[in-house]
Amino acid sequence: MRRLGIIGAGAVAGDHLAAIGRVPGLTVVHVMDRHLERAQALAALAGRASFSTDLESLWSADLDAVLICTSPESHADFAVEAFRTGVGVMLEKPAALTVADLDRVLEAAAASGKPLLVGQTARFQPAHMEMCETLRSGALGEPRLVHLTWYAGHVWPGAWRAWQLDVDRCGGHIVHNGIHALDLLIWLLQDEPLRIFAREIPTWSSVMPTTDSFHMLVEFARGALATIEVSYAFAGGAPPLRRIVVAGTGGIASIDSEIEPRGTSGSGASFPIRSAVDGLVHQFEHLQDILANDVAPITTPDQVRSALAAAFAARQSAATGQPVRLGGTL
Amino acid sequence: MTSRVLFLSAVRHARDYAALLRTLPEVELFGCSEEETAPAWALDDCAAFASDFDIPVLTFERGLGECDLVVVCSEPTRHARLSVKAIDAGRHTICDKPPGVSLSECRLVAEHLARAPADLRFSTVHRLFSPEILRARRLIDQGAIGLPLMLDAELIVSGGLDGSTVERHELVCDPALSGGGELLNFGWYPVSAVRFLTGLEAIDVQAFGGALFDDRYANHGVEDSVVASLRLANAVTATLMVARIPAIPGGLPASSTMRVIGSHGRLIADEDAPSSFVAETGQASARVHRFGRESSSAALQGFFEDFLAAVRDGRPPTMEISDILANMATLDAIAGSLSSGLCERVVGA
Repeated sequence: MRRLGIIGAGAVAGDHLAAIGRVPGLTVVHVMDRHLERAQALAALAGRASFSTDLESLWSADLDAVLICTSPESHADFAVEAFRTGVGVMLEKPAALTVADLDRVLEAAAASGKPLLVGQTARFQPAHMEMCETLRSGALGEPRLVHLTWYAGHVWPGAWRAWQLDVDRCGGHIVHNGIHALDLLIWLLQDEPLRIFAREIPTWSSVMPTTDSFHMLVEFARGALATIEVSYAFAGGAPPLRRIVVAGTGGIASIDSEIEPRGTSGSGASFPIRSAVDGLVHQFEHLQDILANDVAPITTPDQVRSALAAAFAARQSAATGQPVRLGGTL
Repeated sequence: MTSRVLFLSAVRHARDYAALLRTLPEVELFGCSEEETAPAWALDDCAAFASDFDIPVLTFERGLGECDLVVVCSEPTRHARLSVKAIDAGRHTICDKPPGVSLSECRLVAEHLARAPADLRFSTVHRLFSPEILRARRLIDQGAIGLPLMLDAELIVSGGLDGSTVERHELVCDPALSGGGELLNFGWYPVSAVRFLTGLEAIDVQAFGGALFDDRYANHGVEDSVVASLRLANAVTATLMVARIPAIPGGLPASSTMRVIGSHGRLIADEDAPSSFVAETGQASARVHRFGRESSSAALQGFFEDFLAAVRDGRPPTMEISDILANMATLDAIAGSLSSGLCERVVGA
């Protein structure tokens, strides 16, 4: 049984805990949060896990890995500390709020020899695993054109207090969630963004500190092009729309939630669609494989760095109204 | 009253348009004319088209002098010039898309149109009468989704350069004939649809493009794929994807879809829907059967009927010159962005 700790007992940590409960071979043994009552509440859900407000207690829990589920501004420092202590890390996205901070994390991981898995959950959603398999089989030839659309109606917990609305704490929506889309395409195409253009769209409120919606155009190093649209602005509890089209030199593949079986409960809530469910479970199955079998994390350091750099380039583009060219190589 | 329709050149789309026009009660296919200075292959196309449709080849002067309505079906680089000649001859004129290969060409058409009799009608082929686009427009006009805020439009086509849907691949690949790549060939449709649905002008655009799939585009230095970001008035945004790619989901020749997020709802327009899948014993694969008419055919018939009604009733066509100039300004800005790599402001915005 691999022993896990959790830093940060907020909403996403609860999701992680529920997913871990479905993965044999993993157990949460300690929860740390700066609010003792929150750490205690989450630890109670984990069974007999201990809890604390200090890192010393956490590191003394004989961990195989720690899940860093705090808001992003603290990701890098916690991750570096974990690696220095000799503990593997499952780091929520975005991995850091500057590329320099990310480099500190990557260097610490390399020095420790412990695994770093970044929580790019979109990779682990069934639709995207299927798309990846199709691409890796060579059935589509070289992927050249991608259209990724994620439309949902989602309100972050905390309303105006939500850290997701605080650009200094999350990097802005285009970083905080745009990195999911960028990382996914980097992984699917096995390529890196070369040029990016983005627009941010404040639909719910024109004075939102960060917008609920955005779109991006991406040119990849080998010439592939992508259009990405992300919106959290669906009104009235409408079910999410998730669509990906990948055209290659040898064919095309598409997955569209609009043609999936779905239903609605008596309260009006739509049921989860199979193509998007259980991403976190599959993510933790991968973590278990990493810890038990010494498998390399699929979120490779160069891809993690490329995605973060692209997300910040997108933010810069949205601010300046012009495309941004990225450097570096995979 | 019957309109005598002259095809001015028969290089591109003339057969599709003639086949449809001759089913309409108000239309008589009058003949086909070509410029004397046109290349031999264009003159041959004119003769073959006339023969196949059992209509005469007329001299340029006689054709323009005796017809009621002109349909310009040349290669795009002659669209504006031939439209001007038809307008100057006092003929109602339909120009195949695009209406020109640049905004300046379209402005020239507009200048000649301004000097023409007030009841002379001019328009350019569009797909705004596609049943799904009309449905989307009705829903938006009803307020069903509130104010449209974000749109994404995707138009992808497969194949066709072997002569099946594009008469000669140079007509969409070689700028000397096409004026550009697939942006100019197909971009007209989503650009005009976005404006038709929102009622908003584009302010600025950013585009990336390239010859991603077919060397024939690369050899001529034009794109087979374009992605674009549009900022419209009132902070509304849109993305466009236009491409000719090796295959389309479901084995269809083309796919045109659009998603619109509004302040109070959302809608999806899929020009291939609704449809059923029909599997027949002994056939390897199922075929898609659309409900009702195929969308491009329905859109084309709607376009022609609207134009003929505009001529008959003395009203403007649904897409008149002011709409054409606005859409062409957006296409021009997208082309400019492809060239400069920068976000370009739409002229007139």
